[in-house]
Amino acid sequence: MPAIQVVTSAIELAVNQALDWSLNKEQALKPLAGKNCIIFIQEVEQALIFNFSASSIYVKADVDAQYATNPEDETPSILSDDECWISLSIFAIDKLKQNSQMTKLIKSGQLDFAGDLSILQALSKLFDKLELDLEEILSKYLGDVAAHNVNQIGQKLVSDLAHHADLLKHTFADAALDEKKVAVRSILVANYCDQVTELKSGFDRAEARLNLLANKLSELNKATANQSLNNKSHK
Amino acid sequence: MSQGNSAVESESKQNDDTIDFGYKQVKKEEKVELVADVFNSVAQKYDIMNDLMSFGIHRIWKRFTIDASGARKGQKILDLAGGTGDLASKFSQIVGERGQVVLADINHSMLNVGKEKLNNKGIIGNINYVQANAEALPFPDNHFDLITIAFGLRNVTDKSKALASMFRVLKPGGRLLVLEFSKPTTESLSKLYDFYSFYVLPQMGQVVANDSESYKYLAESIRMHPDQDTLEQMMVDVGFEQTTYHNMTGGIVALHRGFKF
Ligand SMILES: C[S@@+](CC[C@H](N)C(=O)[O-])C[C@H]1O[C@@H](n2cnc3c(N)ncnc32)[C@H](O)[C@@H]1O
Repeated sequence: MPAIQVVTSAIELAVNQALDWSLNKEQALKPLAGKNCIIFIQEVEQALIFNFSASSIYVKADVDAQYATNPEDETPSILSDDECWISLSIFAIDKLKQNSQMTKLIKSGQLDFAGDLSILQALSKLFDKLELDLEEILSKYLGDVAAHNVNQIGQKLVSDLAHHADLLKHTFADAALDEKKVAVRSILVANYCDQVTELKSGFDRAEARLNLLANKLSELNKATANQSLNNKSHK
Repeated sequence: MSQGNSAVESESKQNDDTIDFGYKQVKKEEKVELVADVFNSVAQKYDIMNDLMSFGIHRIWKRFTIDASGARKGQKILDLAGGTGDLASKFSQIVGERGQVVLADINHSMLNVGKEKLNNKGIIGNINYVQANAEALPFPDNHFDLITIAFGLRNVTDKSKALASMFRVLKPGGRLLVLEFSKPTTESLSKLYDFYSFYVLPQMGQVVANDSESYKYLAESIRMHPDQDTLEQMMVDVGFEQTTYHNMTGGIVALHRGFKF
């Protein structure tokens, strides 16, 4: 399961819902319509591409990791005129709402920036207007992404999902204690691990049942074949 | 129960005049009409059934396709066998006013449902609707930056001909994305999937859309479709380069990607 697409759809749903609830949605979106804002979240090394239209926001994931580094470090830059790129920590995301702090954030190195600054300012105004806790939304799903990333590496080594889940639980519990910056809430990871284990045992049960059915079916087939043989020999 | 690589076997077995339609062999000329019947019959309930059948996961598969498309502002995009326009509607937003999206489908009913849905969503202006057969695309050479075909290729009679036609209308530097059902990567998933598609799906089709036959065809056509490696080779054979595929949901679905240089 490409987990990041689950995350982008959840974020997209949340921002569009907040837009629908806000007064004057069209007015709020107008300065951003037709523009893209790419937000690289440092903890998960994943860029989210916010694509604005006159009536909604579409959120894409950067699956080819094109925006993992500052696009202006490359020549020519892959950024077009109507795009901006920012890289920041999950914990700084709510500071995006403080328009007046933007230059300070860039200067202090908390936010790496490229492209059209007016897009970032318009985004900041929009996020400020919306009743939305971006950090809350992102960190809620970050647990899944981080777990998924480890999952992918782990897949090469661990074939047993249950053992895998256990491993994840411990790794993240430790990481969460050792380093606050790891944006994974251990409870989320524990939940995720429980779900994986549940899924696995559900799958095992279904498989066992299928095998049982297949056996019954072949017994039935054999019995019918024998019966018709018997019938023939009686005739 | 698993059909294994039946697509390859059946291709070598079938003679020149016949082709698979699900598990049946039919005359090549007949397949287009039979497929048309299926999609005429499912058009109205298509979106609901998609959500029900896949537990909504088809949205995630499509999202991944868009993420892997590299679609950008101002591009010309062809969503082939686009049906009810799920991909086309997103592309319309991404390419913006300066770009263009063509939603093409062989079937008038599906195209109509798509057009109505997109019109209702206010998606107009940069989108055109074209009734076209994937095997003979009515567009100039080197025309599109990107072509997508989602859950469409397995219904096409001559898949290689269709891939070659897509290659022709793609610009140099452009890419093709084929999203299609494929071969599960593990035996146990394969068994579950077979059980689901041959027993549960047709019944669901009967209850919701009063049409179990079309959904039986769906399950059969999936098993007859080339597996991951075979499809990748077919793309290479018509000229695509840097071809790759990405399995999703344990290989139930795969996204193939290839470039024209
Ligand atoms: C399963 S639907 C997929 C629709 C849409 N792409 C989606 O993902 O929801 C398959 C579509 O392929 C179309 N189709 C079948 N054969 C075709 C052909 N030879 N050329 C173009 N479209 C074709 C059908 O009419 C139908 O709309």
